[in-house]
Amino acid sequence: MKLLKKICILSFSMISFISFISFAEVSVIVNKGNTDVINTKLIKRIYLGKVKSFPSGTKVNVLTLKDDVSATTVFRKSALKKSNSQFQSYWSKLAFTGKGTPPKKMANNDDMINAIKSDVTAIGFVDSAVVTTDVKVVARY
Amino acid sequence: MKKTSLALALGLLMLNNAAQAADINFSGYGSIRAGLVLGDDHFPRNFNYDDKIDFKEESVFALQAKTQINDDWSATIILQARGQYDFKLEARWAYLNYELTDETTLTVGRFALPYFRNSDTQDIGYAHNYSVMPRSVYRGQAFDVIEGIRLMHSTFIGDGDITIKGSYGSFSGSTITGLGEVYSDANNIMQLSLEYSYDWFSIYFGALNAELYLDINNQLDAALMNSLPGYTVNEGTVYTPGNLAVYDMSATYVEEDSTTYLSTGFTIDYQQWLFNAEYATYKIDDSFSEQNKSMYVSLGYRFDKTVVTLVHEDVSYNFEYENVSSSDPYVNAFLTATNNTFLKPNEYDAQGIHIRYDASEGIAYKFEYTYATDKLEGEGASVVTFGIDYVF
Repeated sequence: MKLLKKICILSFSMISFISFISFAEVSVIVNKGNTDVINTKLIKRIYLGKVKSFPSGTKVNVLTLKDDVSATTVFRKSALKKSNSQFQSYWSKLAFTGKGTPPKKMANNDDMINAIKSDVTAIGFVDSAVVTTDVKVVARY
Repeated sequence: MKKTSLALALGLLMLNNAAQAADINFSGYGSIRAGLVLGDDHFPRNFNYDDKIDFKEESVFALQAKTQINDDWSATIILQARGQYDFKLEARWAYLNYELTDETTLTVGRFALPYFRNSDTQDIGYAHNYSVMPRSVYRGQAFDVIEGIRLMHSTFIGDGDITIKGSYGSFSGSTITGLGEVYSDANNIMQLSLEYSYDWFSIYFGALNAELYLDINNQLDAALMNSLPGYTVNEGTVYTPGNLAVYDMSATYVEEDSTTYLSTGFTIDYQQWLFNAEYATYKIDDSFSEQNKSMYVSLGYRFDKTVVTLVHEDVSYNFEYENVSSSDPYVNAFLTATNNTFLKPNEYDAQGIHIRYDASEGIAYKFEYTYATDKLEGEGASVVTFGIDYVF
């Protein structure tokens, strides 16, 4: 039993370590003035275009990072269960049939933080390591 | 003319809006697809390829321009060029969207008619894992865009969500039929669909009804008189050489006849497995048309950047020959032959493997190998296609 436990702990730490080295943590961020309660279910619905407003009724300005930024891959995989191509394929169905507008692409973490800082209706995500006190973190993946 | 003026009006609206410094958002999709039949014994009719490689049949390019007029209204136009139509540019979609609420949108203008679950997205190769959406259900519908209105409503039910779509409108233009390209007119098109999606599965039901007119009367009359010397057709009545009225052609013509489409579909996207099935059935009442039954089922598996999908498709008809009701056996023989000539060539089944590889952002490579059998001759052949699908 003890051996089994040790193996389990060891495998678990290895898995965590591997996921840690390959995927940095991602934080979903909003403007500091945003007082809405935002949970992971709402985040998923917002990024899939199924919800267009915050619970308070304000229209959401949805932002994403470019596909080649690692935080993008991590966020889409963990929060939306979609690869970048699945995400793009999903959105192309909505975008070309009048059902929605895909999230706006920000070039990098700095642009994302600045956009969130200056827009109370915006939601975005960045690598947790670069989060500043200028924005509010509502979820981590 | 109608199409052009609508497209032009929307185009002008956008330009005018652009002048007022609003943003026009450009995006697009397309596919370059090449295909051929291996061997030269038989060319499956519903695939439109032969033994020489062809880059045109299933290639398409589209550009979308969209502008937000204000918080509620937006204008969109999709200009599309299809290889099949010699890359002639058409305003595939040209519409105004009005967001009544977050959950309800009203669309007014010209848009792809959602006959079946994926009819409005079937041209976007990047959006699915097949080379093209299974041809049994998705190839060659008589009128695939309409001018009219569409109301769409989505709402959550527990953890799932439901989308209801209703459309009303009309269509006029040319349609490819067994008699070549003919003018057609569809009025009072009414469409209703319902889709429920939960995390890993979704289910769909759709219905559509329209009054259809096909400009084939003269051709049918000529064909009858040609096949049955001495017989005449006058004002839709068939007379024998002895001048006896034996048949009313309106039972075979497509003149303001009601056509009904019913379809259902089911998808599963569970971990790496993808299952998709669709079934559709349709008929034009009081005409040469017989009940069509089209279906496909597919099973796919997702490996990292590659998706491999096996597809089985089938098209068949219930031949009941309801219009074959003359008191004259020769006329009946002609009518039976007419129904058969129009519809028998469409019956086929096919089994294929489709591979999608996500090469880079917005680019997917596709490969397809399908063995298709035309039921009329009982002969089959292998069809191979390669394609690049993109979105931007």
